[in-house]
Amino acid sequence: MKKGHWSLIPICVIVVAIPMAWLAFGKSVVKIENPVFISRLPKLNPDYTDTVIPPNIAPLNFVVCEPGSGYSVKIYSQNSEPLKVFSRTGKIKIPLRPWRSLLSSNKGGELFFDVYVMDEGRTWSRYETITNRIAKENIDAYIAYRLIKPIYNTWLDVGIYQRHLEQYNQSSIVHGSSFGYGCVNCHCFLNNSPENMVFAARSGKYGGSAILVNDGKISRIDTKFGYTSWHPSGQLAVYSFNKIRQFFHAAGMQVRDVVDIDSALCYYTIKSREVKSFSAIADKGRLETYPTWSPDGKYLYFCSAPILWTNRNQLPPEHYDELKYDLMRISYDIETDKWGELETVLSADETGLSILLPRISPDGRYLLFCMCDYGCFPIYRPSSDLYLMDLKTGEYTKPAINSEYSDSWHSWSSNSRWIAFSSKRRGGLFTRTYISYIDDKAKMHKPFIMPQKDPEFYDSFVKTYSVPELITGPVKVEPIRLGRAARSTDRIQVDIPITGATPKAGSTEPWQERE
Amino acid sequence: MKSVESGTSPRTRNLPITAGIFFAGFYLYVWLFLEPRLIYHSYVIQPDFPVFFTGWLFLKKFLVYPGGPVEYVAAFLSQGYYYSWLGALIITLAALLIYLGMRILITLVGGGYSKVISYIPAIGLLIVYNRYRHPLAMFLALLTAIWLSLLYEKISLRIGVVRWLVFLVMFAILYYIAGGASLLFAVLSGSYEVFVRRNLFFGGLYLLFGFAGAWLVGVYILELEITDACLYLTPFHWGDKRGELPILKDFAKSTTICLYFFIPAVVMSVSLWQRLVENMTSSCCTESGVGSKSSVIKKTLQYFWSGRAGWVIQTAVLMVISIASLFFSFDSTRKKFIHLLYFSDQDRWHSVLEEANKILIHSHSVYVNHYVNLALYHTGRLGDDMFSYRQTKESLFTLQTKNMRLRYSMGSNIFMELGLVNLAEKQTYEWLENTGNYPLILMRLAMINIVKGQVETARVFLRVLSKDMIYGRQARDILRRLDADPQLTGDVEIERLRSTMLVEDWVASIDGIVENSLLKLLERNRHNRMAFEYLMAQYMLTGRLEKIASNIGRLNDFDYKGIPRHYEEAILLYTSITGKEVNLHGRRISGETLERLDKFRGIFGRLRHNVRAADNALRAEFGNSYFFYYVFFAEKKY
Repeated sequence: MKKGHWSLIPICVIVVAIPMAWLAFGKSVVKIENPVFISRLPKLNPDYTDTVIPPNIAPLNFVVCEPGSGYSVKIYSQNSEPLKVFSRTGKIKIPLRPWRSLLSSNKGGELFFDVYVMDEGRTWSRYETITNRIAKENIDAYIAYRLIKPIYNTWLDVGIYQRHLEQYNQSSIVHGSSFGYGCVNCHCFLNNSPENMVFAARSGKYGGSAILVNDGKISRIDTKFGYTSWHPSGQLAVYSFNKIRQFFHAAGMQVRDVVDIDSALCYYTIKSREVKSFSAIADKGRLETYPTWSPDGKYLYFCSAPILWTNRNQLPPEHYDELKYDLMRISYDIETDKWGELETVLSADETGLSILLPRISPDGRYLLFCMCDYGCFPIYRPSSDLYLMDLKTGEYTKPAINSEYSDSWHSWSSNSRWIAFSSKRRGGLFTRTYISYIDDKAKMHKPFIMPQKDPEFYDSFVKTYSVPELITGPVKVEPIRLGRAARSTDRIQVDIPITGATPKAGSTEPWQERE
Repeated sequence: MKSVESGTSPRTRNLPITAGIFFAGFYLYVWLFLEPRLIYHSYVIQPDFPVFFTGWLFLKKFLVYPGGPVEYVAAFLSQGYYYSWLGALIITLAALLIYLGMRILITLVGGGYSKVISYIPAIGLLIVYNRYRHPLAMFLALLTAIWLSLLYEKISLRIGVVRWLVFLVMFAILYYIAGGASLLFAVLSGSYEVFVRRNLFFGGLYLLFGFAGAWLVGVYILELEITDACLYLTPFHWGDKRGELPILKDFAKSTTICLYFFIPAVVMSVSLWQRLVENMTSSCCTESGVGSKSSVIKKTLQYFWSGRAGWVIQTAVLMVISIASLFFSFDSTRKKFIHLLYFSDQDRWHSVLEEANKILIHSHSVYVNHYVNLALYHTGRLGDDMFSYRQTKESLFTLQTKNMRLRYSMGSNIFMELGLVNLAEKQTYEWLENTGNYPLILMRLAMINIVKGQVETARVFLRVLSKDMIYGRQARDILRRLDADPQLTGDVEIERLRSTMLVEDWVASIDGIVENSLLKLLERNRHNRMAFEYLMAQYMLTGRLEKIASNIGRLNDFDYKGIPRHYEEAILLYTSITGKEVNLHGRRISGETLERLDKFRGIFGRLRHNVRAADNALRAEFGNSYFFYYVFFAEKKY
């Protein structure tokens, strides 16, 4: 061997040693004999215990938060081979393919996690078996949300993203940097379909507008859409316009607070490109917001509160902390474009709380809504909780999925079996997306956090997930096209039939943006 | 084509010495005079200083767009600026590599005699740092482009198609790692083809592909905006990614743009010049006489470019250019201000005042005033000396200033110190959004949440910070302490803030926050000295003498020996204007202040109808008094 070739030896050793080490330690060839039984559940981060999961969800990677130098998890169910994962750090990363196979062949069955921990003396312990259940019904494969830092008055990095729930892939739908570091919000889809969506785009440079995606065609509408709901027929979208003011609490956990000084509802008709309204949904003495259609398109549900102040320039306005919204509905005939009588579905007088964000399950059976101590913005109110109303009986209950922090901004899956919602339960500041199963007896099961490839992802992620919307597939319109539309001068001009709360499309004030 | 040089001329022998001296001087200048640690600490005003965190998640972000790898490396290297010696080494190495690349490039195109030109890009880099900007990513991209074009030229492939393929591969690699700098590579390689290989077709093709390729790949495959696709990491791309990109302004930007033109221009002109010299040489050979005109020109040129005289001349030119560039490009005001920020970050308040004294008083911005007041408070001199410095009513809180980074950083700092924790939280989140995940911002947010008892949220910020190369250890230490004691009860600063922070909620709008907040703070804790002094300072700046008089009794809540001078002056003004007595709660006005008032009144009384004359007569002796400020500047008067 030539002298220079000796240097190849260490390289060869490394080349051979690395795969061998990986085989030895990376794979689950771990022999566990006579483990000591510990009669409690192990601590997991995130907490994936005693919950119901969709059969098409990505692997629920987690960290075993128990002291040890080796960790082994056996994941199994009735109808398939167990899946074993070993880790030296406690980070359990479950391989995608066997996980999928395990879940798909055990729909409706139970899913068990046996967690083993090895201590410094190489003695293994086994904890009580964690039991989860695999639902029969899939969750919609994608979820769209906005990612932002906890912003107040100014923003730079705001984007709407979509995540494939069956894997971990996240991609951008649109980012504010594509139109002068603008703000994007209030994204809304028609019947959980990614083909039809609308979102608000606001930029100091390009003005404010609504971007409408209708079967792949993009238009820029020269008005701002607030909270929006598509009519199930896809022929129109009702939206709110809100004159929002922001103010701050000098003490207490939540610094930010907002109030709608004025608000009303309008609707935009896709075919005729008109904006219309109706006196009952744009009452000058009341604040109307959060519209949502019944799945048959015959009723518009929304929230409404009396205006409690006379001085609309005072900040905060008088009695802002006494403002409570009622839940209303009004019938509508799409054929004749006629509105019916206004009805109170649930009044704030009855509940003592402000009723916000009604969303009806696609099967038309349940109405999920928030209630908080006052005001119009549940994400800033730690008191906000989710409530479920049976639309057949009109009775509502508070499901056991709530936390001590704000729970709000929920979205139904297209099969009415899953909800995704926002919760601040991990510390009170950062909003994370949780998923919960609702069974045929209207029981909502313990929610679990949207899984991530890195189980410690949420521990150091300083952005919030806002407005999670479940969708059946990916939004295929490219971000660059949406950015171009938001910059475009080619706009659909509309006349707004209401004055007062109506904001001008071009003006953008920081306080009008909120989480 | 080979270099015209052969053998070892005296100038060639001297080149390593020249380069050694030049770069040694370069290093010492950057280390000891520019002090890269100042650039590290200038993130408050520096939109182009990057953060860096260890781990895959942070790296991943840089791998998905053209130019990301170079930005990642630049972000990593930038952390070395925390230590001036290391920062200087990084800058010097970058400059040295650019110099060497240029030198080889010029030699390759046949300009071995003009290697002193190779120093120009290094001088350009120094000029940009002289402005206290941070163009490392851009210069690393430039450096990569130069060296890759050298590699291309060194490979010297004969078969055209193979050359073309090699160019394509190199261009693609460079486009990925250095973004828009790949255009420079295309220009340099194209120039080489045209001027050295005399292959116009390939030269044109490279240039065409350089522009069209970046455009097609960036816009149509990667779906980038055209500026991001073609110009990223070049000085032509500014302002598109606020807070993330090297945003070079004014002189620094012009210099970098000039360099981008300079490098290919040098390559082209050296090639042309070389051809000219060759032509002259050949015509010289065809002419018979040794003393022909061409021969004389050639000898003259050789004497000035290649001989010892050439070396002396070029070295002298280099020195003159270097010294002149440094002299004219140095931004001393910016350096002083960054120094001031640095000292305030370190709580070195006497040094803040010393630095402020170096900045001419008339050029004191509201930002300088803000730090001066903070330093005066920390050194116990606010009530005695604040009017020795220029003051405006925005100086204390700077809530309406245009520079958002500074506004939010100052707001965050001052509200936190005062105990207005929620308002500090608001300002810090604004700061975070406008500036990025900078270590001190993350640390501030962690502290705010610990003070408020929101430990889980604090942990999120600390875990991010734990991946920082400089502050990571500190963050990990706090995380360990939180595990042991989630309230950090033994921490003096945390306890101080908890004892001063507001616990009773009230609704605040930033505009009308100052007076009410300070009064609420004093209601909460009457021993909050900073709240008291800032309240009195605010009253003085807005000319509210009656408020000063009515709050003077609060002095007894603290350990003041007498009455601070400016408060005495305000009380005397109040009594002399209104004729009302002020209850001094057992304290008394010093005789010296009484005498000064008499003297001030005497002069002002004589010249009151001529404001300018009064100003001139009083400024020297009373310019540092509240009498003077009240009469000439305060808004509210009796």
